[in-house]
Amino acid sequence: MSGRATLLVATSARIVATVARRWTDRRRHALVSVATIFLISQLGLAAEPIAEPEITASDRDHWAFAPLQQPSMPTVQAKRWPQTPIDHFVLHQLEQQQLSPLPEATRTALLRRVKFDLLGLPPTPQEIRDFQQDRSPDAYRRLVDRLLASPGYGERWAQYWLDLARFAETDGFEHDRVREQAWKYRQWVVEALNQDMPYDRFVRLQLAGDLTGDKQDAIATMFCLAGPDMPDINEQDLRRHDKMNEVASTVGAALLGLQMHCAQCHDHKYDAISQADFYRLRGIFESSVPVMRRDQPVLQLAAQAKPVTPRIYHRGELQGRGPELQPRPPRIACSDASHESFDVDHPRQAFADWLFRDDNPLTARVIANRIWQHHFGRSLCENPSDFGVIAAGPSHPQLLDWLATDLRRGDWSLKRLHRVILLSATYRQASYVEPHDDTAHHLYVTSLEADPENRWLGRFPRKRLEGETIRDALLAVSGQLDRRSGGPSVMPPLPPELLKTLLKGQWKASEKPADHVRRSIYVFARRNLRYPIFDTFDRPDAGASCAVRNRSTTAIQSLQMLNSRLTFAAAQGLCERVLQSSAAVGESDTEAAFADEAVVQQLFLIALGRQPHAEELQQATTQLTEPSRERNENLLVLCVAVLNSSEFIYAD
Amino acid sequence: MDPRTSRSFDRRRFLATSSGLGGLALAAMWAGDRSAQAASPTTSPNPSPNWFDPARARVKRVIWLFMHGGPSHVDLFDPKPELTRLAGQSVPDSFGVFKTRRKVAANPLLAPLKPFRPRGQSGLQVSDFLPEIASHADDLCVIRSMHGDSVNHPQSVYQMNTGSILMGRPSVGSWVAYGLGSENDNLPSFVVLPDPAGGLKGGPPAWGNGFLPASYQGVTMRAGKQPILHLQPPAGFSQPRQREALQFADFLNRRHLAVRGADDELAARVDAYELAFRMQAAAPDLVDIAEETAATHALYGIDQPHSRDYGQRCLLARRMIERGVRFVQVYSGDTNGWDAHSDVLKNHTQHCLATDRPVAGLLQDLKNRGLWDDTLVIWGGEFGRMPMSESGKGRDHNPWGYSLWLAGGGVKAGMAFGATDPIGLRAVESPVHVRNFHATLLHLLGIDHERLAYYHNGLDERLIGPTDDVEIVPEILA
Repeated sequence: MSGRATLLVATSARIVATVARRWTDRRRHALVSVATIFLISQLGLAAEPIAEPEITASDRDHWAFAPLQQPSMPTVQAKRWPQTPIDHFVLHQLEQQQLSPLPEATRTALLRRVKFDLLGLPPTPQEIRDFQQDRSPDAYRRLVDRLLASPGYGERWAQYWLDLARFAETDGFEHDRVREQAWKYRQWVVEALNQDMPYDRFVRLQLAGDLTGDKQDAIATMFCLAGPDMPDINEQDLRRHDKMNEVASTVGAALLGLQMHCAQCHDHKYDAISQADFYRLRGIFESSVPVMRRDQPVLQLAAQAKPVTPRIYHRGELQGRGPELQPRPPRIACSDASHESFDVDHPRQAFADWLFRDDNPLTARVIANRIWQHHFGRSLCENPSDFGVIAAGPSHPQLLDWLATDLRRGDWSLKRLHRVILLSATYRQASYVEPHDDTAHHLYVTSLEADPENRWLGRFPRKRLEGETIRDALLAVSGQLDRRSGGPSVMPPLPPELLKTLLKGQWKASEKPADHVRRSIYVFARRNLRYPIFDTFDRPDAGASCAVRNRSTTAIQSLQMLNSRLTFAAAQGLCERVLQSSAAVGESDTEAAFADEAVVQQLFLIALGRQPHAEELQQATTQLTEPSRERNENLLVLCVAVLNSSEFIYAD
Repeated sequence: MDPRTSRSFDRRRFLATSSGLGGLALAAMWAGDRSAQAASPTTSPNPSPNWFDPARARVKRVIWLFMHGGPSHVDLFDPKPELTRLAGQSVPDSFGVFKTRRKVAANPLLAPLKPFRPRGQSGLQVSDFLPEIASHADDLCVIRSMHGDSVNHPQSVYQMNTGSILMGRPSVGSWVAYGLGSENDNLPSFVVLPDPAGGLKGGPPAWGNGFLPASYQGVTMRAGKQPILHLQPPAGFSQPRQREALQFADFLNRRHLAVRGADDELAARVDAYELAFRMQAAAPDLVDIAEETAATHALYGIDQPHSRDYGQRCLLARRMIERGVRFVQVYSGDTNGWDAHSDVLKNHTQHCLATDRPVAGLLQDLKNRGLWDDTLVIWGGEFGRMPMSESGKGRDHNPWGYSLWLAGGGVKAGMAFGATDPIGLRAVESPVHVRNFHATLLHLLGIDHERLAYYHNGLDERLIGPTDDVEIVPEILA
């Protein structure tokens, strides 16, 4: 009791201070918010107010909350380098560091980079030939446009959003039951991206698609409820409580770039997010989550007949029922006027409106940064889902604001933003320069030494492919990939050892072998067991919204790439494909050596998207003609090796 | 053995083996032993962690015998004469309201199913269910006042393994691997030996790395020729061919790295292949228990059909810690495991028979081999069981009070710490929450439980959670 009393005293003291400060505040609504916060506590001993620290001017000064305006383009010395406004911002900062960008990447490197980037697939030999031969000035521009128009784009970029949405097709926990309809949400995301649905509509439907009357739109609200769930829990009220907190945390992180979850038990330690702010955000969804019944899944939002009054939960616990409050966005991200006028009767629509209002700088900054992040493999800020005061802010604040305002100018078209980024000289730079090119190599060495982390983007950051993309690439280069789009998920076979760690019947390999080689995005997403190669290469566990994947390098990955059926089948397929295509190219009967070289060249072209270097050609040919074995067997050895090369899973 | 010595030894061996094969001169290209300093996969200890104090470390390794499903404390390690006296009656009102999984609160109390007896010098009471473990009573430190937060399996499995009832956080083994790094460059730091009979409730996230890098995840191993997934070349691809493939990949990778200059990640990848290669050699040797004597096999109960499987896995655990694996979990119990809802006698007779000899054999073997003092053995489930009956002869889940024991270095022996109430419903005397147990476990390894942290999404995430009120249990430390 004494602890409670102390708390009460401390609370009162803070309230007094707050009130005192608010009294001096000239803004007319100052008293209103104070007046609404006095409510009777369940103890009945004293009024239990919502005590929360005032948002101060210095809180609002933080870069993420500063009003968003289009920055003017800085002047640069190397006037011929910039291709788009982006380049002015990047070059300006490079020049301030006395650094220069690298020259443009080779055509083969650029093609491989942009194709993996947009479609998550390796370039085909035909594409390589076409692009190399196309000498028109807009060849690259047309390439970008072609790739952006491909349905493969949505299949690639959907996964980034699904990571944020902690998407999986099962509940998790003990039974990890299948959510039969979950794939429809994935489908919705893929299609929305392919259609270039404007980001404001994309988000609005995921928050409130059930209110349009269109069933397809309602599917989008699965975003909110895609997280783990335990339908068989005894206490359904606890299930609901956990779920609601999880929804608010996800919305905060994914859409606002705020770690709201830190405030579910107590005011945020560093950011100006109070516990009340957390429960106000949760309140926006409070009356739209279906009533939970034992063993029944809840997948989509739907307005409920019986509204639920939002309230604070002390220490984040269901038993800690605190004072009631009203649904509203976090104060720090909101002007006082918007906070006041928030339509509490239609909170989800109001929230979606607010996200895209001109006076909300956060939404545009957060998504622009994410798009940048996936093109360059790293975001402009330290943590794309934490725009608070602790994570490091943007390396290029002006650039970020330019991207964000450009997104608005383009009516929230994501493809337009992709395009402006992809066409920049910054994006087209080489990631490295080989030692034989003296001048450029000197630049590269300087860049490495002066900026080892590549903070200033004086070279393109090399990217490790994700597990999903590595699998797609394995299937593609071996000619196995089945490009059919859409539909329910498929289950490629699992190693029996892994099946044993699951409950019986949780993974039944799809009947049709063609389904085993569909793109990774269509592989069934079981929360309790990620498909092995995805798991090994850092796919997140879908337990919480994930903005940045880990990028670990482990021996288990090596074993996977060396010994799994997946890679071995890919090596065999690649082997056959190389033999077929090199037979078509080379005059096989004329000279054996030439045929051997043609085989090696085809192998490099198909698997790595380039011709072998002299040394590689020589070594590989030696291996290919190793006399103790058949040539085909030697080629299989080479195929296994190339699929295990770093180059295969990195894009320069 | 000093880990650094073994590392360079293994590296030399690797280079010697591989350079003798195809003349690709792996070693010559990179004569300098760069990999010794480069960010190394799997094995690199966290750079200068401020949470580890070697001087404070009481043990170096942990073997966690996880009795999945929830073994009944009132039938195994927590004698309750009062429960015998009240058998058949309802729980007295004085015990108040309590939550159960399956509405069993009003059911009649069920007496302990087998007699308890004082054992050894200490007189520690252990049930007749576990005669072999009972003969080691003087070695055990039984915590009789454990408690957790959920009546559900998966939540409690997660809590016991990760500190949180929610799924997706790093498991204790991952934290330890992250906090201490590896003692062996050929094997993972955290190994899990699941029960081959079936998966546990909650699944593989129980040994997941959560937000920690994947290199700290629990690697599942099993007895037999394929102890690790994808350890050996696929059918149709011989060892020598694979070695050649590895060599050519190594040639490509070193060239790829060389022309790109400094890149720790690419360098680590080259090392990862070397480690994978060494694991291919080390792991089969590790699981080759045929080289152990018949006496050792008998010690672990491998000669008996009912205890063969768990005995093999306990023996594997010993072989692992001998080779420097930090943290080994050995699960007992398939998907249902010790979850004795309908018949405790039947269920526990079966599971005790399967594990009693192996566990006792392991304790004895650790002593015989001088491993006792720097190894911590943990025995326990995700919770205990209710004093009242379910379906007549069974018991429901009880997270409010249950037993778990420790043995080996750093802990007092032949003692029982804390107590449940007279019927074993709740922990009432010196309660030890799962968080306190985790803090104590870290403490024994020389890790400051408050400092062990990983920055993730705006928080310094910790095994023990965000609050600073989690204490170790000093009374059980030797």
